[in-house]
Parts: sequence; structure tokens; C-alpha cells
Amino acid sequence: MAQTPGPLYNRIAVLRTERGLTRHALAAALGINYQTVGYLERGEYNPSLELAFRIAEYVGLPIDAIFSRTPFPPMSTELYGSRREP
Amino acid sequence: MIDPSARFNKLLEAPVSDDIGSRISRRRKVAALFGSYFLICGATAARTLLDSPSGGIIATVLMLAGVGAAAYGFISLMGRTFINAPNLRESVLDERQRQRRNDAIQRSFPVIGMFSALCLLYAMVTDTMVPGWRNATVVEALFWGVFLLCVSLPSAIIAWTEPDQQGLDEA
Repeated sequence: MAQTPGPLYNRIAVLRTERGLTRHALAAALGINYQTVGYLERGEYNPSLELAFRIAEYVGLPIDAIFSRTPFPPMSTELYGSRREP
Repeated sequence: MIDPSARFNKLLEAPVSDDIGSRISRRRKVAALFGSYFLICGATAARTLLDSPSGGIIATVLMLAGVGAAAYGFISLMGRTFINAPNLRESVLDERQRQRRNDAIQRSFPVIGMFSALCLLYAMVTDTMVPGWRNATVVEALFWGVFLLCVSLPSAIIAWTEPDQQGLDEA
């Protein structure tokens, strides 16, 4: 029986903003429509494995740094950890 | 000199416009296209059933409105945008667009199948059960309906369901 795929979280929006790219520029680099970039960023479309690899190659990161089955923690938490005193 | 077939292929491979308009405007075009069917059917019925000068005027007005709405719907939906994906080459669409196109075609099949079954039922009933009931106008209307659905329903589904991009893709 086919399993319903769960949500796939990604960091495409953050990575794109970090690199100062517009959706049009990223779409042109990946060979997709710019609206598809929007769909990917909003999590409304899950990319094929081939496109996921193309994105990973373009941003120079491993696939699991961009896509995850669980929500990504905020960048600030990842960078500085929890600084709250006990 | 450029080979005509190469030129034609180049034309088919030309980039697709991103301008698909707002959802409201797309839905208006779909409504015009399918509304035109009922206007043209109404015009044909008026011409057949109303045997008076006013019937002729009503039929003409309905026919003009129907043809106008059909032209507006066809021209605006069947342009070189993603909305017309079912009639575009695979290579000009990206993977999400191809997925949306396949989904629209798959959703069209049951509707086209049911409408074709209705035509078949009409043919069978007028052939065997009630001979003499077959009306050329009704046959024409049914064929026109099948044609309209086959040619435009997948594109109409994409136009109707594609979300509004305004405000989402400005970054």
C-alpha cells in the first residue's frame, strides 16, 4: 500500500537570501520556473531527487543540510545554542 | 536558408511566459469559455424552437455573445503560458509544471468520459427506444461539448486551481 508522504522541510529561502539571490536568479541557475522556487520555499512542492541534488550542488551543501523530514531549528539556536541561564 | 521544420521546432521550444494573471481573471476566462457553450446551445435552441422574428433576434444575440465569450476564453487561456501546459512541449516545462499538467489531464478524464457516455446514451436511446427523437441540433451540441472538453478542460483545471502568485514571488 502506498504511503502518504509527510512534509519535507527545507532551508532554500534562507540559503537563497544568504547568497543575495532573487527567485528569478536561483530559478535560472537551477533551470526551473521562478514560481517553482516559491513553491519549494513555502514547502508546497517537494522536489524530485534529481532537483534536490541540483540544489545541493548549486549551494555547495550536503542534501541533509537543506532538506529534512523534521522542522529545522532556528539559525540563532544552531549558532549560539541556548544561552538562557538556569 | 533555415530548414522550415527546424524553424517550427525552434518556435515550439520558445520560452513560456510567466504572466498567468490573477486567479480571479483566470477563473473569469474559464467561466467565459464554458459559459459560451451554454450560450451557443441556447442560441441554437432558440433558433429551432422559437418560430418568430423575436426568436431570431434572441438566437442572434445569444450566438454573438457565445462566440465572443468562446473567443475570449480560448485566446486568453490557450496562449503560450504554463496554463496551456497540456498543449506545450515537455521540454519547456519544469518538473512541478509537468506534475500539475499530468494531474490536470488525469482529473479531466472522468469528466470527458462521463460526457462521452452521455452522448453514447443519447445515441442508443434515440436509435432503439424512441426512434425519431434524434435531433441534429442536440447531436451537434453534444459533439461541440466533447470537443470543448477535450481541447480545453485540462488547461481550464490548471487555470482554475493554480494559486495566486502576486505578493508571493516578488522577492
